[in-house]
Parts: sequence; C-alpha cells; structure tokens
Amino acid sequence: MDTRCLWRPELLFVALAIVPTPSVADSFSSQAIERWLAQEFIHSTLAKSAQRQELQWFQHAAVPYRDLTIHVVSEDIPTHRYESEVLARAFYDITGIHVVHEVTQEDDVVRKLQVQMDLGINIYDGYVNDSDFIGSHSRYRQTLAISDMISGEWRNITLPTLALDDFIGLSHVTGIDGKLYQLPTQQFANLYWYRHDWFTDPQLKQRFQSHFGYPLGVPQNWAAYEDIANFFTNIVKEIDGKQVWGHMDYGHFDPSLGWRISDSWLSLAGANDLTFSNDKPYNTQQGVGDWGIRVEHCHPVGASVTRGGALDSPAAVYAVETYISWLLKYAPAEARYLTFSNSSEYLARGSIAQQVFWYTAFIPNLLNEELLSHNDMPVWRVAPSPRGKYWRSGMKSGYQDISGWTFLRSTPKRRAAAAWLYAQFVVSKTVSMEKFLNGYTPIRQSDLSSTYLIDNAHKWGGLLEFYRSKARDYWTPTGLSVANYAALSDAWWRHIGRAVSGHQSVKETMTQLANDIDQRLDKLKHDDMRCPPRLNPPQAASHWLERHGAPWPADSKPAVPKTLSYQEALLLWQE
Amino acid sequence: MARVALVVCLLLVALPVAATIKLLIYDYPPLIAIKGQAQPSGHAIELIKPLFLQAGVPYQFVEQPLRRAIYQAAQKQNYCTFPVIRTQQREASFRWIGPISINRYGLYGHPELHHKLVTLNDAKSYKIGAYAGSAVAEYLSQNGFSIDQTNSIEQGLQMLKHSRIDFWVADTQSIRQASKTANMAKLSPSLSFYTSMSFMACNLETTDSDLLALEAELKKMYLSGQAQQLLHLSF
Repeated sequence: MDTRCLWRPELLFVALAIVPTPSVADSFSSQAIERWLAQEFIHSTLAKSAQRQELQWFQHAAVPYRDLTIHVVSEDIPTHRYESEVLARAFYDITGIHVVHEVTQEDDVVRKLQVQMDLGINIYDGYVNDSDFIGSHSRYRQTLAISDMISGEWRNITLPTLALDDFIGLSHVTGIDGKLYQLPTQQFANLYWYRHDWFTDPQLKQRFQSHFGYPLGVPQNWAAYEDIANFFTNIVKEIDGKQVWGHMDYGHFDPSLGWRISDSWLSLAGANDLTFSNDKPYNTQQGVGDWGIRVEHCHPVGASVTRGGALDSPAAVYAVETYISWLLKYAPAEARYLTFSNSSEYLARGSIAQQVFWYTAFIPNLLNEELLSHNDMPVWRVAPSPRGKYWRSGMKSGYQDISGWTFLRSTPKRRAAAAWLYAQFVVSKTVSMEKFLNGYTPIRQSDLSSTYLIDNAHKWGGLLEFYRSKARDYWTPTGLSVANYAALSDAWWRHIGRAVSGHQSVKETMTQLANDIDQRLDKLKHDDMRCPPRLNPPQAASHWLERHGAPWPADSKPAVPKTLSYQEALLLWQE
Repeated sequence: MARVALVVCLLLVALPVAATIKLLIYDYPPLIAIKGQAQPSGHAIELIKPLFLQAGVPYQFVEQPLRRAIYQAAQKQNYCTFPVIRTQQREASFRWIGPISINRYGLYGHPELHHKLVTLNDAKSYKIGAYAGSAVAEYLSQNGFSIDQTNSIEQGLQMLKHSRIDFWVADTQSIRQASKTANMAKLSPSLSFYTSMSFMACNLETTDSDLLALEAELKKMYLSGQAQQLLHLSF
C-alpha cells in the first residue's frame, strides 16, 4: 500500500478542486492511467502495478462501448459526489465511456426507479438504490440478478479482481432466492453520536453524577439517554456562553419523516422477534422483522397485532411516543420543522450534546473547525446505539444504509453493460480507499484491514472501530419482509405526521398505520411476484400478545438508566 | 381569482354526475402552449385530453401563472395543475398523477464554440444562463453554480447568441422549438446532466375514484406506448 501522501480531512474539498485535467492527447491511453494513478488513486490496498493492471483491464473492456454516453443516478451524499465529480471523469479519461452521474434527493431516485420498473421507460442505465429495496427487487422480476449476469452475459466484462467476497455488505443485497441483486457502492450506519469532550469534562461529570446518581457516559438505554438529554437542555443550558441542547432530531411533515421511524427505530425499541435474522435462509424463517411485519415461510402475513405483526404493538407505540416526546422536550424548538437534510447540518454548529439517531454518512460535515480539537482530532465520538425497554440481546441493534448498483431489465443490454463497467470501476480496489477517504462509507474488508486506515482511525471518532467489529452485521438495512418498499413506504410519514402534529394519539396513529400497511400488503398479493403477501385472518390481539415472541405484551416497568465509558461501550461491538 | 376558461368543458352525460376537475395550466412550450393560441396545445395537452376522456373524468382548462396555480390547487377541491416538479417539500400538499413529462436538461453552448464538458463540475468556471424560477435553475444553484436568470427562453438564447453567457440551460424538447424561433442553428447539448419528471398535482380532497381512474388509464397509455408517442419522449 502506498502511503506517500498523508491524508488530512481539511483537504477533502481541495481534492475535488484539483481533479486531474485531461489533455485530448492522453485520453483513453496509458498516459491517462498513469496520470490518474499519480494524482488521485494514491491510497489503495493494491500495489501500483496491480492498480495499473485493473485500469488497463477497464480500458480494454470498454472499447466496444466508447461511443456511449450513459446516465446513472444516486442520492446526494459526499460519497456519490465524489463518484459523480471525480470518478466519472476518471472513467471517461481511461475508457472513453462518458458517464453522466446525476446526484439528486433520495425520494427522486426512488420515484424514477419506480417509474422505470412500472412503465418500462429507460430513464437511467443504472441506479444506486438502497438495499432496503431488496425485498422488492428479488420478488418482482424487473431487476437483473447480478450473480446470474456475472456467470452469463457479463462474464467477459466482469473485472477479474472484483473479489465479491471482499464486500462487507453482500448478505444484505442478496434476495429471497439467494441471488445477488445489487453491488454495494457505499454503506453507512445509524449510530449514537455525542460530544466526547463535554462528556469527559470533570465539572460536567460531577454535576451529572450528583444530580442523577450515576456517571455521565455513553447511554446504554433510552432511560439514560433521556436523563442526559434533560441534563444538557434543562440543567447545563449553556457552555462557553452558548446555548446547548441534549438532543437533536427532526419532525417536519415530508417523506424524510418516514425514514426517521422506518429506519429501524421500532427495532431499537425492541418490537422485533429475537431470532429474526437476515442471515438465515429466508424461507425457513418465521417471526416479526422490519417494520413490524410478520413473515411466515417467505410470505408477509401482516403488520397489525391482530394478524401477528407488531406495528401497533406496545413496543411500537412506546417507540413513537418516545421519539415525539424527546423532540418536543429536549431538541431545539425549530427541530420539529426540520427535515432529514437540513437537520443534518445542525450538529456541525457545535451546540448539540448527543443524538440518538445519526447517520455516519454525514461525517464529512463534522470534520470542521468547530468540532476538531487543537490537534485536529474530532471532539465527538460515535458509539453503540442505546436501546428501548423492550429490546433484548439478540434483537436487531440498529440500522445500516447500504446502497448498491442496480440494473433493470428495461435498460437496453449494451447500455446496461457499459453501466456495469462503471459500477465495477467505482467499487474497484484501485479506487475504493480514496473513495472512503472522501465519504467514509466503507464497502471492502481489505480497506478496513489496511494499515493506512487503521493508523488513521483516531481521526474518524469510532467509525472504523464499528466497521472493523462484528457489530456491522447487527446494524442491518430494511430486510426482505418489506415486499414492495415503494408501495408501502409513504404510509409511514403520512401517518406519523398526524401524531407529531398532535392531531391524534400515537396509539390511534399506529393502529391506522398497521391497518394501512395490511391493506397495501393485501393489494400486492395480486402482483406478479415471488413470495407474495398472504395475510393472516385477524384474531383478538391477546391471541398474539400472550404467545412467546413478538408482538411483545405491554411492559409498564420503567427501565433503570445505565451508562458506560466510551472504551467499555466499544467493547460491546466486539461481543 | 377567477380566470377565463380557455376551451374545453367536457360533459359526460352518460355517467353519474361527477365534479369537473379544473386543470390550471400555464404557458410552458412545448408541453403547453397558450400564448397567441385559440386553444391550448402542446405535448402534455395532447396527453391529458385522451387521458381524461378515457378515464371518464370531466375537466376544464383554466390559465393561471405557475405560482398561483400551485397555490390554488393546494387550496381548492377538484383543482389540479400541471406540469409540476414533485419535490420533497411539495409531496405532502397534493395527490399526484404522472409522470406527465420526462425531460433531460442540457448545457447548450454557442454553436461555433466547442467547450468540452465531461462532468457538471467542469461547467463551474463558465457563465451559465437559465430560465428564472425553473426547477433546473434551482438544482444548479443548490449545486453551487452562479446562474444568470432570464425571464424568457428567447432572452436566454439571445444572450447565448451574443456570447454574454457561455451556456444556456434547457431541456431537449424546448430548445428545439426555441432555437428555431431565435433563428439559431440546431443546438446540441455539450452535456446532458439532469433528468426531471413532472406530474399533475391535485388537491388532496379530489375525488378518490377520479384519481384512481386517471392513474390506471395513464399506466395503460404508457404500457401501450401511446403516452410516449404523444409526449415525444426519446427515452
């Protein structure tokens, strides 16, 4: 591995500004390869000669497609900006295939994908789509199974050094039939974030201890999180003359409100079954998984408690009540009017003590002066997420967003083939480490095991510790139980919004949401798909609540708050 | 505010009495052409007429400026407007039917100058003009571009012709018509960089059965290829 140039976070945007400029003479030539190797693809687990070989392979494989301009799309996070602005240009210089890599809002990506799936219009030649759609891709017959393509039509245009077994998120892009439907290009986790400098301040520690009777530290459950939120918002109130808050969140009525809850918040509360896992063969599993949907032998059978689901179970109601209560009591007043996007800018201002639900894709925003110490180290850390009172060991521990290259059958074969080459380029070992250094969304074990990343791990506040641990397998995306993500997902924000605005109780809201999801599932049973929904007949809620497993009965006992030191908390990821 | 009803009021006497949907439209060639026309025309109009007819939903076109159209459609039952870009901010305020059009936007340079663009970032050092208030102008501004906004497509093309801007931003359909009007040689994009879909935004209280019928009919029109033909889609 080449480590000649020591990477520094403040150089992130400078790097984008000094993207090598091509000259016409060296395009699609060995000079183009040498220029990109020398100026951009500095850090890699491959030796320079092996990088060169990979790039030469791309150059050769692309020859039949050189006349093409292809269009691909992804959501707007720093990793995809890097792909769009730097890697698409490198790919053009090296191969001659012109890739227009659009970045847009996540809901726009989903809408376009849905239109192409429903109507067969080839809007894009490749999509970077969340693996939350894996239940849809592998049920409907609109998406190419990449594993089939690699062993068939794409055999000669599949990078010999692609090394699928090096990808850390492959199990989450594998469908109900065991086939690979998406190629991971980035992944990020939803973790607990906090101000390590404040949590280790002797005066603040002493005040917390004397007020609550236990040490200020990384909260292990929601009870401790709430005490810490209350401590900073209502007791500490100001640090260095600046108002501070003990919690940050968002609650504006728009589609991103749905993700706030549907990205495993109910699972963190403890609504799921203990044994439900995406790692076991899907058709052998029974129980309640993501979104409170019960699955039996690969068929979703219901979301409401009366059908064996858990979407309106006591744990789900507790989860949403807690979210709303914290938003109103401990977050800045404007938080309830913010969205996923604009709330993400808030931590960078340096006035928030902790956030229970934080996406690591936003790490680049936090490597700013406000949040770096005098020796350029972050003053914050990420740690295992605290869990709600229904959570038990063995349940899902958190959410992870994995986005993968996805190709639809409606795309002309030649265009899909060119897009496949680009997809492999942006995940190749030649470029993957530089991509990590620009977006912090790792995809390859080889990068995570590299001396360079390990030596620099202290700069990223615990991110690498998470991704080098087993925990990354327990922070999972929306699983296979969601049979059609696009058709079901808007139910979340449309219903939850009524509870956030106070127009109706959380209990009423969750009952309506569960019934709505049941009705939508019932409608989907007529679609041409594998493992379609087959709703259980409704029964008295007690029938399900009195059995062992989810949906769990109401637990009125308050949880005992518990905290750990940062080092102790990290050990939990190793277990 | 009341506006002059432009043309069509379709009464389907054989069906149970259904509320007429007011379709608020604005000049947006080539999807909708109103200025100087006795009746509205354009690709989107050609799609909407058979769509409503086949779905059995009575309708009436009413001219309104875009901003007022969006406001009124959000406020009044059985009002819809199109074409509207479906953003996260607007999502909760309407029921949506579509897509009513799909367009690819490009950066068009002076035909005698040949600026090479590979990524959108390459255009950052150039002077770029765009139609004021358009979704694509907003997209570029959000991406850190400084845009000269113009009040008409024609004005933008004149600026391009006289090299007061390096690139004009337009969708592939409107540029064809506008460049003819501006008497410029056929322009081709230096870079197609953004794809947008527009929809019909309907009031939340619009009759459910009408919207379901329109949705189903539009899907049929796409699957048969009729919609693509009427919209002149090149995808």
